[in-house]
Amino acid sequence: MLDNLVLGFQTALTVENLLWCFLGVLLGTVIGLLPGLGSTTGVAVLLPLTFTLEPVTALIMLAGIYYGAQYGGTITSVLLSTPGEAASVVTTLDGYQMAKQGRAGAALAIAAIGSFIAAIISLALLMALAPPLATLALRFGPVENLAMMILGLVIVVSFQGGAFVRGALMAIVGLLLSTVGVATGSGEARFTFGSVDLLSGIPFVEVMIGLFALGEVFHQLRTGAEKPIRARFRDMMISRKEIAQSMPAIFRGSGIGFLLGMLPGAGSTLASFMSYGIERRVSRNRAGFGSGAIEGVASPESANNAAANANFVPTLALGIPGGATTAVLLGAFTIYGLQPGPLLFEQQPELVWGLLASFFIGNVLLLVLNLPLAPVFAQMLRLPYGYLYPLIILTSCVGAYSVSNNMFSVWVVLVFGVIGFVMKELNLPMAPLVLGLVLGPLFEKALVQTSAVGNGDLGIVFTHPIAVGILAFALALVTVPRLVGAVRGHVARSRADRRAGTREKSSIDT
Amino acid sequence: MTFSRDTARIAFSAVLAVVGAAAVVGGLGYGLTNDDGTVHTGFLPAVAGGAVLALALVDVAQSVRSARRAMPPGEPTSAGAGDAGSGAEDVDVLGRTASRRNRMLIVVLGIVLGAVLLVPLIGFLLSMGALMLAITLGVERMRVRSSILVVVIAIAVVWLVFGQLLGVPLPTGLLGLI
Repeated sequence: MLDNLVLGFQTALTVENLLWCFLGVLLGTVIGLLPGLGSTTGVAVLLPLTFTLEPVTALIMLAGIYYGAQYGGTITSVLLSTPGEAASVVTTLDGYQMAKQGRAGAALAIAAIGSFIAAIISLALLMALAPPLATLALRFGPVENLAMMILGLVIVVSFQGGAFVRGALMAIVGLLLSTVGVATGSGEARFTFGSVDLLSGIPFVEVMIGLFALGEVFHQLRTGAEKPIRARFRDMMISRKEIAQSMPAIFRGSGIGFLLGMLPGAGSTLASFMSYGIERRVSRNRAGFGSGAIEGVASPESANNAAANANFVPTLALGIPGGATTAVLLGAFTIYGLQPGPLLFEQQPELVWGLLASFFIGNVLLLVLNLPLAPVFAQMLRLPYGYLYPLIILTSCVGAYSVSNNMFSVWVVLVFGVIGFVMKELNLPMAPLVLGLVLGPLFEKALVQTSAVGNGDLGIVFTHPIAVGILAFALALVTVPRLVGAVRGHVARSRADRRAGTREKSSIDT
Repeated sequence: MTFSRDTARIAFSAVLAVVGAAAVVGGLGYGLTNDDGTVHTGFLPAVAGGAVLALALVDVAQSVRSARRAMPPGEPTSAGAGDAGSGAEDVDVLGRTASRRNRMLIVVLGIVLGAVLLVPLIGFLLSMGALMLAITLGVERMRVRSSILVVVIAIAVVWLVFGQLLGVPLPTGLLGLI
């Protein structure tokens, strides 16, 4: 493997490749900064730029765009509460709170550091384990995928803490919204009311922009202007203590991200939500989650990036795209006359290992570019809110329009902006709704396939050991904390009764 | 937690309960299963709708209970205890009262709606430019010169990045200018 690695770095570390990788990271970051344009759109839009390049150089540049766009989405999630893609939604929860407290620089820096560490860990795993892991991922059929989606929904609901009913309600409302459009399996139009626009469903990118960006603008207008953030440049820098505090979250996020990223579909989104949910339970600073905990940014960002790399496991080893962006990249492979799959590692070692080495280089460039720039980006918040929020409305509308070049998208943003405002006013969680909406089509696909595998019997889920294990874990997540809480409450009550009884007895004695 | 917010939450959950019930009916209409017993078009909407209905009703019950607990016995249950009602003292850092902020919100919502409706007439960029000017000058009372500067730069950047670099066909409306 070492020989292959050396070959990879020899391929990637040419001046030309480094320059294109840098350009890719830079362009990707700029694309990711625009609301509505995530890494998938970034790679798709900039794909024609690479047509004149050598295949290795082109793929290296596209990988740079991929990472850059992901980080660009993080910047808007933190600064403006506007996630570029579903996987960045969780980052808004604590990242935006940090920004409001004048710690946007620290949030952006930990996102870059966490992403970098996650990338290195996941790349090492990817290089060492890609072929065997791809075989393992193949054991995940529709039944296991269905169980995994249920686990994802349970985790995101369970991290709502006391507001379990509302979290579950919002997640299932998201699922329900995802049923609008052409039905998976039958191809029948469902809840479209004759609208052509609704045939392709309620677009989740526009829903995210509406809920998070416009919803926040309307909410801020109602709650009133806050004191402008006047943090000094020095205060915008991340401290060593904050980095050390975030390390466990980064490592846990990287592990979770890599494992889930190998699964085709919503791997990155599930990974970011799950890692946040788990971190919220196990972190020492769990009480600070939701109000600007740095671990709440470090964990999903690491998971997100590790999942992005793990997405390449099925893409490279099997030729099955791990996510939407890797699907576009798979298209790029075929444009360059390459056939991803088990033979790619043998037939094109220079290309595969060059690409893997370029992931490393892309992440180094991303860190070098964005770590010093994090406090600079954070200065954006110094702009008076009277100018900032019309700009947010403008970029939200144009970003939404550009997703499908259709005014329908802008209307969706407006409608969900109002819904987001109402949800914020009523303190209803928005993240479960987005996850439900994103997972909905995949969930239904897995449901239809599972039902077909079982000849109509959904109980087939209980005959698959992996699925049973996943569902048992989901059940434990819901029941164990309640049982523990009930037992603790019972013990505390009986102790209090015993103490009261002893006091009463001693007062009678005296 | 105020009484008015609880009422709003109850109303919101009640609306969701109705949506859930409608989804169940719709799902049943599409059909739950095929002849061979496999999942059909209406299965997921019906199941999800049923779950929404049940959870929304639980949420309504919880909200009613919390509203009752928040209300000391014998106190009138009329509106006025809400957020807006306490607006006389609720002033933000710019000196805006709650009622003024509520008016601003309605005006901004109206401006956004108006701008989107204007797109087919004057085009996307001009509508958005008008939206930004209306907000910065009309609502926020920012300086005229700096507002115009911000708007011109923002629209130019959008035109350059989206219209020219990314090739997004931004609607030019009936005017057909930009």
